[in-house]
Amino acid sequence: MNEAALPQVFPRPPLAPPTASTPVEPAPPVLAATAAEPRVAAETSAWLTRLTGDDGPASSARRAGVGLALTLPFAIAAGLRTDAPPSEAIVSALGIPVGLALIALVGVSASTLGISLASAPLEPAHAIAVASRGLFRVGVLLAGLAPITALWVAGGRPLEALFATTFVLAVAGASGIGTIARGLVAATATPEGELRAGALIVALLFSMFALVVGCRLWLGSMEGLLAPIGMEAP
Amino acid sequence: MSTATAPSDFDLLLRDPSGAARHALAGPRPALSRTALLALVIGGAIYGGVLGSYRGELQVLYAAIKMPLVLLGALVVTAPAVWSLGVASGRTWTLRSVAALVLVAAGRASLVLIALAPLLWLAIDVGAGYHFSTLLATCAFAVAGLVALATLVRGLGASGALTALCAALVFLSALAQTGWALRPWLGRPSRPVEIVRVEPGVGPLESVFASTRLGMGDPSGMDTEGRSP
Repeated sequence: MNEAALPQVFPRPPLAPPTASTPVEPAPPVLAATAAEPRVAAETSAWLTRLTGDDGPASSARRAGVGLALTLPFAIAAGLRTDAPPSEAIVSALGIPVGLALIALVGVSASTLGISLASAPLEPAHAIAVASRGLFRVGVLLAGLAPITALWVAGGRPLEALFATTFVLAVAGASGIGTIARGLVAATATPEGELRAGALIVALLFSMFALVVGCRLWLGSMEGLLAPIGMEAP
Repeated sequence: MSTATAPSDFDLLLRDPSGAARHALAGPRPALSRTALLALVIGGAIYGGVLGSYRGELQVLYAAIKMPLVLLGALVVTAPAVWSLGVASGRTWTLRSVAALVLVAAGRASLVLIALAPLLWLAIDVGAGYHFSTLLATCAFAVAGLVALATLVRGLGASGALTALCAALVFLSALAQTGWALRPWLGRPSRPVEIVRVEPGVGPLESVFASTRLGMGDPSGMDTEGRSP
């Protein structure tokens, strides 16, 4: 439950102490929480609600697409330090969404097969929905943290730039991997809510696969950040 | 018979952080955002001016102009981060409402800076050294940062505490980087007044350690500009 949507009650003292001419009586809540403003709910985004509320094929595809598109600001921010011409930098920036899409496509497909082989029920549509949620989460985090990454990459020293980029990528990546792994396990739980061992093992394998491929992609795409500190991309 | 009057937006910002935070998150309330922005600009200018008073002359003006810019720059970076952290944890806030909440938190922190500015000014006036003054200024920022963090937590709710903590880290990180890029703030008496120093220096993080060491009276090692004693 969104706590910002709780009823608004502000029991606080009056702003000025009572004087001799003003009778002392219990002060009503200054913000008139129950009459004029019964609730102060957080403003929600209809776009986000639509995007995250439905697990149909079209919604999943849209969510995955938006998630991948949202990774671009971070990719551009991480590439600010390269000496490459802008055209090459943009092509290089595309590496991050393409890499994430590949991890989701290959990893979740293999995981769906593995879970099915372990006799756990998992519909492909459900697996796609789980993957799209993971991609969307990674994209949103990378987009939101892109400005701070750009600040450190453009203005910080080489090691600080490398640390900022790696940290943001690790946080977003771990969050996305966790979303997909949890989603796969939850989707195959028994009607009583018990988790299946096969699904747990497959989710663990997926996490390891995504981690290794993610690190490989990171090393390959961070040439401009690794070179100043004497490291080479493999 | 007395009637309850709604507090002004400034009163809300000053005395009712929960109310200010929740109103900001609730949607468009331009007057509250304007008040917070004004508090941020005026508070930043006053605090910057006090920092510049260590060197005096034009440094007061330069620091008073730069400080609101640094605070605003850090806010611009922090708002999308808070939004994305919230969305990643399942919220569907609008970027507009999150930006208003962050602005309110920063506006309240600026009021704290105004309140602490006389103490810093007094320390400088009675002869606190350069590095000790820098430490004091950093401590004042830390107190203001805690107040901003508390305001964010009040707005986001207890379950948003982690988001607020991450937001505070992003804000401090942005503040450190933009503040370092636009230094000097206090200005050493031995150097000419300058609006922005162009030497790269040791960076924001190492400069805090160097200032702490030098402020405690240990002259070994490099100073904040990377020079050996």
